[in-house]
Amino acid sequence: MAGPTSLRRRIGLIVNPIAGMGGKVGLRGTDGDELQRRARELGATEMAAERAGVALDRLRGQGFTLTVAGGAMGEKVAREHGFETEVTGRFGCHTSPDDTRDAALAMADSGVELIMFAGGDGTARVIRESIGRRIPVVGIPTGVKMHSGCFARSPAAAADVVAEYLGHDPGSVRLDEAEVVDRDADDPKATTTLYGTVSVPEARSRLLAAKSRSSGRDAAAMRGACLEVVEEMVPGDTYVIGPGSTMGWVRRHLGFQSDPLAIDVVRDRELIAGDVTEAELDELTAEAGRVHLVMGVIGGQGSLLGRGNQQIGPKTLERVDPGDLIVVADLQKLIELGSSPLTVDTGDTDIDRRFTGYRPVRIGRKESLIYEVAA
Amino acid sequence: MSGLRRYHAPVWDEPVVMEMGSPGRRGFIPPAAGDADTAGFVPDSMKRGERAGLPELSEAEVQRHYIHLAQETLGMMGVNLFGTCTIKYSPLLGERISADHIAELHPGQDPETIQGVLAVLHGMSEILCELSGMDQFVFQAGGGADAAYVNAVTTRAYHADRGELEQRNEIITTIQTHPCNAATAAAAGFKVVTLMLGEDGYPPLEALEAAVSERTAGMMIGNPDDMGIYNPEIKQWVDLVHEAGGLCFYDHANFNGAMSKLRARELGFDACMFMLHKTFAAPFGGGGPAVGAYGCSSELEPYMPRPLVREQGGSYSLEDVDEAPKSVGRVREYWGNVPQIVKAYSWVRSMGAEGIRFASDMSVLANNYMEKRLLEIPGLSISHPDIKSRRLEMTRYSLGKLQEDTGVTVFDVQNRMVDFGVDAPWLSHEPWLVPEPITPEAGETWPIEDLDYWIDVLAQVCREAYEDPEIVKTAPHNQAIGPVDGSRLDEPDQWATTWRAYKRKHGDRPKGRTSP
Ligand SMILES: Cc1ncc(COP(=O)(O)O)c(C=O)c1O
Repeated sequence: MAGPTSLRRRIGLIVNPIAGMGGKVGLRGTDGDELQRRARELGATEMAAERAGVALDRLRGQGFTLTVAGGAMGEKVAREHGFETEVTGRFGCHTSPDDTRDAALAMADSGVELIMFAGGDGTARVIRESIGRRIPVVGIPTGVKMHSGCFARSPAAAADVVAEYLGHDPGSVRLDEAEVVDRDADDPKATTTLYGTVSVPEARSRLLAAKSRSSGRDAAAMRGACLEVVEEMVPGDTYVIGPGSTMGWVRRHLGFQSDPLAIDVVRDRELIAGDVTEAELDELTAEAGRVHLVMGVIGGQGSLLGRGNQQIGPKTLERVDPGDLIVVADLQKLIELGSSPLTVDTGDTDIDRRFTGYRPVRIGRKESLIYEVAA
Repeated sequence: MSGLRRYHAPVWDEPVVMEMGSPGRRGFIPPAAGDADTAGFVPDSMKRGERAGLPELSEAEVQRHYIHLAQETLGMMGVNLFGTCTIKYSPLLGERISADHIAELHPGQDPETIQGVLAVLHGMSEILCELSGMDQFVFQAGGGADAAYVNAVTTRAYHADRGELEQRNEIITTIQTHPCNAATAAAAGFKVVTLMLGEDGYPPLEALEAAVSERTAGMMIGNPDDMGIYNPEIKQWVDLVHEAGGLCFYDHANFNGAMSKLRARELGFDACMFMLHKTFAAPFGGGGPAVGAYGCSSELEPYMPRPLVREQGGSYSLEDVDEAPKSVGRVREYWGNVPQIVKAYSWVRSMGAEGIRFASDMSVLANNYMEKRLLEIPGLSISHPDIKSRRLEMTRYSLGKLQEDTGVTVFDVQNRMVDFGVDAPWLSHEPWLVPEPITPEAGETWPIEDLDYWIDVLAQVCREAYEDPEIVKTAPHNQAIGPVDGSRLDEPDQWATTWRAYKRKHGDRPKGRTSP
């Protein structure tokens, strides 16, 4: 398969060397210098490179050019596993989020087709900030927190996603949007926050079904489910549209788009307030008649309502009849929760209790799944 | 290697029939019509402008072609433990009876002249009523999914007749009930409400409580479901749906483990279906001919399809659509696949009640025997490992660990198993609840040597996955064809299901000399 270098496909690799160090020593993440120091003190070792190595071994002989971030951020492990590489940037052993940001940007600028990265949710966040959806990414699960939709099930599965990607002509691979979410590592009760989306290669078979990644068919189901929600909108009622990639379909059917993090308010199928704050939403719903909430499920943790979408505060939630909470979620995403319930964690147990129990989740047009919601 | 057979399938590289033969070649030349007057025999509007583009071959070529194709099917002739399908041996006797006695009949004949076959249909309905507690069966549906559809439209007719159809627009099912239930409910215009499994391997009662409402038209479920897990709370389920005003349908396609042990009607169900091409040993595969036998209570009988065979004083007649104003009518031509019904009837009569009970016990025993040996295979695990109750006639396993460890997928395992002369195993319907699923079903007709051989093959393939994964990933090696790249299977520009579509998408292929 070898050809002139210029014709070879180029895949990037970024390793966050400190990702995952916290897990073995009981920390929930290694974001920030302080947690890193504690992790090292507790005897944590760098496992990101090791996991990246597993993925690389599996990609040997695929005939692509590997572009790596320098030093511990990819170059070293690629060498050790016998890969000839192109290197962007030189990074020492003390790396920072800025290094990840720079490496991702340099790769996207230089024509790398897809970036593999070894890290957790924190790394995914930084990469999203840096390159957005310019080129697809595949996460090699390494960190302690991996609730974002861009991670494969395992390093081997990540390699399989990349191998499948390489099996297609550049540009002919269908891409999906995956949510990037994260939680505060210091706070055990923290709920997931959505930071935006990245682009990922579409999963073609279940083998590749990475955590909470929708395939093309599921995207059609989500499109249909959201269309039905829009069709059923009752004139005069107020609809609060939640954040996330699935809710993007509700917005598209209504004829507008907004940031994946935004919360919008709709009445008579018209946007009446975009990207509202908690106070604005409270004010709007106070004057409204019947209020419906239309929500997706955020991240691989099944978070439905919580401090992650703080704009929907207790005042608004009190006005919503639990039967008027419309949830739309990809079936595969629910299956991958491994039968753990969807969660509501608004900080107010009385409000939480109102929304718990077995509830319908729309999984397609005219299709719903009864799923447990717990506080 | 263990004592596995040395196997190799014939390789023919058989061309498509349209690429074979030569202009003017014929198998059979009928005598000319002479001077018979054929004018107006075919209406002008139906006459072709051009001759049909048919293949032109001799009879021997055609025979050889189809024998080659039959040898290239990659299975359905080997040991076949295809779960959720209850593959059984179909006795040749049934084949002979239907060939010798049924092929010459026509359903348009005067019923007086076909009393025998009507008696068989009537008798089969009686037997299935005895097994299910229902009051009447109809055999029109051309398969299990078709019978599920019969239920969906019968349910629709029932609610429409009571003026409640607009309000009752939801059908409840479970995620491990065969997907034809959800699909046919949707095809009949219902919304589908699906229940997720709970810890015990079946959905919790609370989930059903949350699902039923004044919108409930009915429930369509299998039990045991496609994982072989029996829901012991089923009676409460039926009660809950009835209290809400819905009808209950039992997809009894996976009847082997339950036959003679329970009756759907006694559990409260209003309707059920059996698959004569599965449980009742009529041949299966190749997409039919099949029979989905649909039965229901006397309350639903007015709505079920017609015609039905009626008996009075030892003589049989057909009650047609015009005599049953509330009936959904026909879902298919005539009375269904009668040769298959005759085969099933001959099977069930030869088994008798004792035989049926014994077959059921054997199928459960064989499955549990397999479980014991299969769980010794590294890389393989069982779904819901913590539940205590035994699986009935089949079990869902996972090769997720094998895939994690070796990169070998369950598709690769399927492809490699056929190298040893067994048929590819069934995996799971969508959606997959366990990674890399595989679902064998032993049934009662395979001798223990066959079950052991099948297990040995799977053990060998898993061993290869750890020792030399490439062998498995590049399989099949001993088959009529090598691995097929399925990655663009859903791209319409790539695939054609007819020769005309093929030519449109790919242009003419040069016609070579192809006869071996
Ligand atoms: C439980 C169950 N229901 C329905 C069907 C559909 O039957 P058919 O393939 O005859 O349409 C099957 C098929 O095996 C089945 O296993």
